[in-house]
Amino acid sequence: MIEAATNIISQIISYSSIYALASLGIVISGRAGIFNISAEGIMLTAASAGFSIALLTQNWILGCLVGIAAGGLFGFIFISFHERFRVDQFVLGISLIIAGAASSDLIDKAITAHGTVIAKAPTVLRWSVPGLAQIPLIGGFFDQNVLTYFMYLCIFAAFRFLYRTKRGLEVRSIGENPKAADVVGIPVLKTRYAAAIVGAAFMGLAGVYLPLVVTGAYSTGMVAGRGFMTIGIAIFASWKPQRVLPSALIFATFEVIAFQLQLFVPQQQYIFLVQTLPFAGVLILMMIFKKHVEFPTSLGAPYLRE
Amino acid sequence: MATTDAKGVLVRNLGLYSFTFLIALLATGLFMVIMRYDPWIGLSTLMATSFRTSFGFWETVQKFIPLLLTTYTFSITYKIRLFNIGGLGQMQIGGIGAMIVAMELGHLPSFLVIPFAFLAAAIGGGGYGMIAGWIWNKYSINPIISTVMLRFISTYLVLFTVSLERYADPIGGHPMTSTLPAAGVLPYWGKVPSWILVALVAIVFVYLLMRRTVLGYKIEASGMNPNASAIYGIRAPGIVLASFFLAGAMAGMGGATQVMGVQHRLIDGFALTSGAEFSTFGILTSLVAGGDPVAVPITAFLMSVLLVGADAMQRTMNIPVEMVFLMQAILVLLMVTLRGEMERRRHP
Repeated sequence: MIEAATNIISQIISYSSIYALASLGIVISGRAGIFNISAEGIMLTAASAGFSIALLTQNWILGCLVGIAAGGLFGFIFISFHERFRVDQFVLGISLIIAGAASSDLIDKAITAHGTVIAKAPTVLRWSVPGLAQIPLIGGFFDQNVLTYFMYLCIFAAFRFLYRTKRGLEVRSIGENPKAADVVGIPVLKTRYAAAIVGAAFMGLAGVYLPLVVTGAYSTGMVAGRGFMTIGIAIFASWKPQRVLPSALIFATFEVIAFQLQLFVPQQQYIFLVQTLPFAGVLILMMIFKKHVEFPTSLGAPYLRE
Repeated sequence: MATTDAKGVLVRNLGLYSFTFLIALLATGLFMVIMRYDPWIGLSTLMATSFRTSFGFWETVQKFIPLLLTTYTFSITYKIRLFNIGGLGQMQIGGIGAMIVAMELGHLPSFLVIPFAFLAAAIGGGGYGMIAGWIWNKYSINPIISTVMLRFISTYLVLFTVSLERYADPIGGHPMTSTLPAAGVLPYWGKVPSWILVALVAIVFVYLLMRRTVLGYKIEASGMNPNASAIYGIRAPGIVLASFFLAGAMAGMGGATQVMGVQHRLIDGFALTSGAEFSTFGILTSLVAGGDPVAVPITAFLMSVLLVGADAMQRTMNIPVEMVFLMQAILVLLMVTLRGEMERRRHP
């Protein structure tokens, strides 16, 4: 019984890594006032590009790096169009979702060109922390792949950076009031570029996590709405890195519970109703906790110097 | 003065459209070269398939009808600076509504069944759209999130409905209902799909709504309110609900045309075309047209030409349809960028 529960916790943590990594990216760019809603497209492209490279080179580290680079590239496109041509952030986000979905399949078809056989790439290294992984229940946190440990580290680092360093304070001040930040000499433009690129790189890593950890293969549209769920998680976490992991855990729990519940539903048609649970759950939770949510004040707004 | 002004706008817009389209076409040609396809055959297939045969032309019209409706779905709420990206959900609920009415009232004559089915689709889609508007009014959750969540829920609701014993096709391999009774099927007039009427009515309706009614004026004004340019939009709960209802109703009717006109049944994935959602193409079309009521139908037709061309490219040359999705995304980015730059040149 306890072993089964520990396994379920381990499964929840594994799923929540996708959400936590991508939400962390949304939070980081959001803190500098950039609301990048294109996680769905970025994750798809990163998944297919990263998987293709991992497949060709038989090396998952290269695959992850390519996923991160693909995310960073999208972040660069996003921020340049926004800062240089002042295109609305939401319009940009929607265009990049579609561009990302399209290029993911193009990359898959162009590079891997596999026929009916589903090609498998090496999956990310798993590592149980000796000692900790044997503790019942809690052990689920420490019997994971290395990307999950990397996620723990990044969340801690992002928290330290944003709330315990001067540069972090500067980033947050840009998200609240870019004009005031500019007046006191903070490099607003450079910081916004950096935040958008780093943020999107995290979304890219979340995307490549799917084929390289969860499924072991790329399939069309495999992100399946998780990119949108991550936006919900970032909002639910009030754009605070330290709240990203617990929020991601809650939403991943919905996903895993819905998955487990299906085993107990006798009739096929009611399984479909159970499958709506994660999505309805996101909405209802956000409605319940609405009062506890704060936004960076200038989130999504363009910054014009004149 | 006014006439030369209008002429100037027309010339500018024609120039803008041709220029962006040409660049997008060039980029697509370049992708084809990179992926080692023949760009000349590819591009001519893409552009000309709709006009080579009458089959191709009416195929284009059939794609145009729901595409136009879902373009309005995005455009109407975009007027108040809210992003309704869950047109798929509203279309699916509309399809469910139309199917249920057509099945349950199938014994009545079709001049009764069809209007009721469209009504059910409009109310279903509109009501589903309104949920997002209500959540925004009451809980300030951005429709970008809520419409997407509702869209996933509705996909499972379609699967649920088609697998109910009352409607399910017992021998269908794919999740779908059995065929609609004859009274619930939209006819063809020769080769012309009769549901082109829905599109024509929608064009006139939206034009009159935005230009001649108080509600349209209010929607327009809410969007122009400078306070609204902030991402939070403006707080006019009634306007939000009305726009989301209208937007959802358009998508719902689009769903009804697919169910009653094209598939003659409710089937999983009925709201897709060329491998992606009608509503996604609707968003792209709306952004290219910039919400201009006259430009929307023309752009929607152009996008349908591209989709029919994309299908043909995939069939005959094995070029992935995604190539055309990428082209459309480039088209949107170029268009939005250039339009913004031109605005700033004129009103610096």
